Amino acid sequence: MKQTLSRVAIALAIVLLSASCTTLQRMSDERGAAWVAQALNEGNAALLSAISSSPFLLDGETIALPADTAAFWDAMVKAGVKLDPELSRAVETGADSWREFGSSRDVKVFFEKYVTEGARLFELQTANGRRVLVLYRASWGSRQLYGFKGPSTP
Amino acid sequence: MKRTLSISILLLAAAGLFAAPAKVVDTDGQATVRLASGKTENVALGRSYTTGDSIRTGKNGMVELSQAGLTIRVGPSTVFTLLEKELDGKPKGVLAVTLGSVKMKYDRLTGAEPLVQSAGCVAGVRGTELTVWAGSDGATRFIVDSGLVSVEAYGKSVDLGPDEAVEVLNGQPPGDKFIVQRGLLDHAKWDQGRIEALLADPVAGVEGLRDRLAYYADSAAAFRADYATFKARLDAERLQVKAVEKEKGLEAAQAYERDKVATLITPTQNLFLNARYFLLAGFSMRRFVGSRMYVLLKNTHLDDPENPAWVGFLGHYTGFLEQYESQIAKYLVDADF
Repeated sequence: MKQTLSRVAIALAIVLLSASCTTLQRMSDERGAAWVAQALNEGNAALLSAISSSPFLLDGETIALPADTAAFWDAMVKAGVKLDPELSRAVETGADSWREFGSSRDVKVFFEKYVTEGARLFELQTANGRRVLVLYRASWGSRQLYGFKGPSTP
Repeated sequence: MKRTLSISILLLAAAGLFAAPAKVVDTDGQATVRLASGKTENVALGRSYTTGDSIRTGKNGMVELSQAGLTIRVGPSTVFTLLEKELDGKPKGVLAVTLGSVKMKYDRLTGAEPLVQSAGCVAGVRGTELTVWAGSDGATRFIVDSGLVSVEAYGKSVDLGPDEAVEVLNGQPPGDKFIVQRGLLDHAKWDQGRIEALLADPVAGVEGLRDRLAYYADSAAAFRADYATFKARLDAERLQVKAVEKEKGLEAAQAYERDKVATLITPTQNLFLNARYFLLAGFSMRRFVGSRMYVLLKNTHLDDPENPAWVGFLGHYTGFLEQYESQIAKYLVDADF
């Protein structure tokens, strides 16, 4: 009886721990997505450029020069693209995540070489219902954007 | 595993075995170098770079390199790569200017001057001072300060003397040469004109890229085919050495190796070097010029994604990417990306 109770307690602890990890991850994703949306919606292209990695993945393009990445964020702000901060989807990047950005070897190698463990893939919507993907990683208070895809028609 | 090892050995042979290193003698602003190994780091004063290394400068960046009697000044917003190819049986350095501006000045001419390459053409240098501008649409302008420079693309050559310049649009032979007005030389202004030309006719821009990519891909394929033939002969002769040793002894085997194997090694390496050269030229054009075009067009049409100019560009650009993927990318190694 005592043994059964302790088994139940361990199982319960595991379930609770796992649930809290999932909740924490979800909260972290929501914070990250909201931060990106806020930076763009407030027109802070310089901030987005500053946390964008080099190279940066834009759609299926590996942007090697930081000036081109900066020009993209400037253009996004200038075009008035606004993001809904509510996450449509958030997943950890895995072996096949590169396929979300394209089917080329450039994209595959980009993920293998430049996207570090713990990166998250966010799906968000623009104010006019178009879809974007954000390749994001937060660690110890620092943020990094590895890539962006869209806006595209869902 | 064995194939990976032999490719690695050949890559090492192809990367910098013959090249004169270029030493950094001055640097300012943002400047990084992507080494042939695939690693990226900041350009460091006093460091030497060699074949396969690619220097990228930021908006205010500048790097000055010294290479065997040649001074190379890499201007702002530039992508400059040290390459190498075989010419007339000998390895020859190639200075590749993919984007931005580079000025070259020779202290002396030795007859072994490197070739100068942009996305769309190659120039042979018999001069002492020249400037190369590489535009966002793949166009190139060569400006000669002194000496003689021969610019070639699609079988047409143009010889330039002092104060003369020529422009080469991607996918086309060199245009007519013209006299430069020294006080009016402004790379940024010229590139802005190239961007406007691209935005006015993006399909022509991407078709120019496709033509040039086809040239790189065809050349790489021809060298790869020859390399495969030579490599098969080399492998067969190496096996034969063992047979000779078994049959006639060590001395006979060594003589056979000298006569039959050693003579094949350099030509085989050179074919590999040239195949790599054309593959890397295609990669560089796609990575820097192609991506720059894509970003410029995407940025212009972010608020109008159904614009026929953008949709038309995407159609042709997809064709360019498929061509690159099947004819160039599949033959590169991961470190190239």
